[in-house]
Amino acid sequence: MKILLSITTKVSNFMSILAGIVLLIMTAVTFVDIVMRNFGKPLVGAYELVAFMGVAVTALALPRASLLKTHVYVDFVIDKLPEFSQKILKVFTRIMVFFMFFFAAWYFMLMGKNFINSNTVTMSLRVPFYPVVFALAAGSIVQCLVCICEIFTDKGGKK
Amino acid sequence: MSDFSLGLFSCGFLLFFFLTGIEIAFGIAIVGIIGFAIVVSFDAAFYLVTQDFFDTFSSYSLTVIPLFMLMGQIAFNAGIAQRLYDAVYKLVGRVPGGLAMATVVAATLFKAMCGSTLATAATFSSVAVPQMTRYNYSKRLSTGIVASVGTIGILIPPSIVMIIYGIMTEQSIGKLFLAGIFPGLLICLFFIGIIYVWCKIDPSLGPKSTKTYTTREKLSALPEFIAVAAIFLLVIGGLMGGFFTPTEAGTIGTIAVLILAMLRKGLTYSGFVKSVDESLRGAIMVLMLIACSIVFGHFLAVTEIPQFTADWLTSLPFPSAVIMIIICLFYLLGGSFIDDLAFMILATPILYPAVEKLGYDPIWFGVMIGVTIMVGGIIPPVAICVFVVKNITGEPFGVIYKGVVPFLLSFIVVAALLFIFPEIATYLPYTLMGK
Repeated sequence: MKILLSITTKVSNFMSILAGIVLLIMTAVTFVDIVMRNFGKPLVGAYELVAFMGVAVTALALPRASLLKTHVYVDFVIDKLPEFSQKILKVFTRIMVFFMFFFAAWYFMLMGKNFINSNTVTMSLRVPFYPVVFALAAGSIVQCLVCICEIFTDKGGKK
Repeated sequence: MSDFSLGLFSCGFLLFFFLTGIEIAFGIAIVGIIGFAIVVSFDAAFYLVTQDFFDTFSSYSLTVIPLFMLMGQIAFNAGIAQRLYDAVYKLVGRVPGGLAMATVVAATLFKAMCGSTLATAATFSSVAVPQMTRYNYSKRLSTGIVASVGTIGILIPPSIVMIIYGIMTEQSIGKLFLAGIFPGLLICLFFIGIIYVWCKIDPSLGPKSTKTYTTREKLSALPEFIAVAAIFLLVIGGLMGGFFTPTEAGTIGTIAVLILAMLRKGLTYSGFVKSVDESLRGAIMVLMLIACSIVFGHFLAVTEIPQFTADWLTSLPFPSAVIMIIICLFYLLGGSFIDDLAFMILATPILYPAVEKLGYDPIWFGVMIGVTIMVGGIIPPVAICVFVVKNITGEPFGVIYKGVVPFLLSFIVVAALLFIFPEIATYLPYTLMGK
């Protein structure tokens, strides 16, 4: 289990670094677009590029956010339960979340495949959509690994 | 079971589901998926999830969230709050309770650059509470004011809550930002008034500082205010004047705060990395909440719950003001048990049609929700700002809650004033940006 946790942590951290880089590129693209607009030469497709990068940022940053328990949850009831009940509920909720992201990953793959088959691209820059959809699938798969790790470890901080 | 009964049952079940400790966002999506799978099909439910997630995350308007969070985190990690606090302290430190008043003013100014309520509460817990302790301020006052003033970020722009409300209800974010300014400032004034009266009644709560500053030293504090005001005007003015989209305003704000931090040499490389990391995590939390609530919203739409709620609320034999008070109390109650922002995201699609049907101004309603969320942030059981102050200062909950109580009065008075004079919220946006 230690190996799985180590791999999941490393992969999540790596994905998060990529997400950070994409966020900074997103900021730079928007800034350059604003500046260039004032010279009458706006960046063509800046909006769709930013929106496109928004998907990548979310997909890549999700597993680490989950691993560090960034999401909001109600803990004032569960904290008062005996440890055994806490464990049962933890396993139950992790399984639910695991299956949600497992199926989501599968359906994102199907969506990506559909985008490839239909050659779906962005309007101005003609960038294909499927890479970010596959990034969402990858983020969902790593999220599944995070769920497995959470069942067996106490990894992560309190809210 | 009819679709409608299933929808109603799902809403009730959701509240119990939250108690299992599941992430609120994921819990909302799971219930939405199961409900949609029962009403339509399993395949349709997951096509809906992937489509909703993709549409949400690829929405240009939502890219504003990570950008404003980045701006706030850079301001937070660059120590801008500390300098603002020192500057205000030079001006009002000698008044009884002056340090607490300085906290209110500095936190409000800091908030004008920082989109995060929690970052504001955390910053001033570390900056202001130790300072007040040094001058023998009561822990009740110091922790109470820091927890209360942390919530001011919900109304003072740029506010993440207003951005999300604006996106969900298709209202202008610029107008919502402007609408929050007067009520936010009014609450600050009430805070200062309460500190003054409280310290008059019991001078031991906030003894006046013995340190004196020359006029020259006081004047030297002015550049801090000018820098903050310039960034605020750039971001809000650009948005209001139609020069920037909200995403662009977030970018300009981020770059401006980054330049200010670099000029002041307050931001280290590790501080910058931390800012990016924390803004990413904060943004994911909010974006997942929105995406998951859209899934749940689509399920509810199939069951016609929002339409029924609107019809039912508007048919109640009460004046519309009473119904509006019930809606606000519902937000307050719901937000007290789960996170306020999460509850707003969950409840707004259900209740907003009723608000529209009752004929209330959506911009005004956004501010009213903001005030209820502010209260929810400092009352138990889920008082997120109090939790932050407790974690940083180590003071018991009892002390902080006792300190918060007098400041609750400000929210109640401002909410009442907003009801009687809605123009407090609507005057600025409609005068400057038109109806």
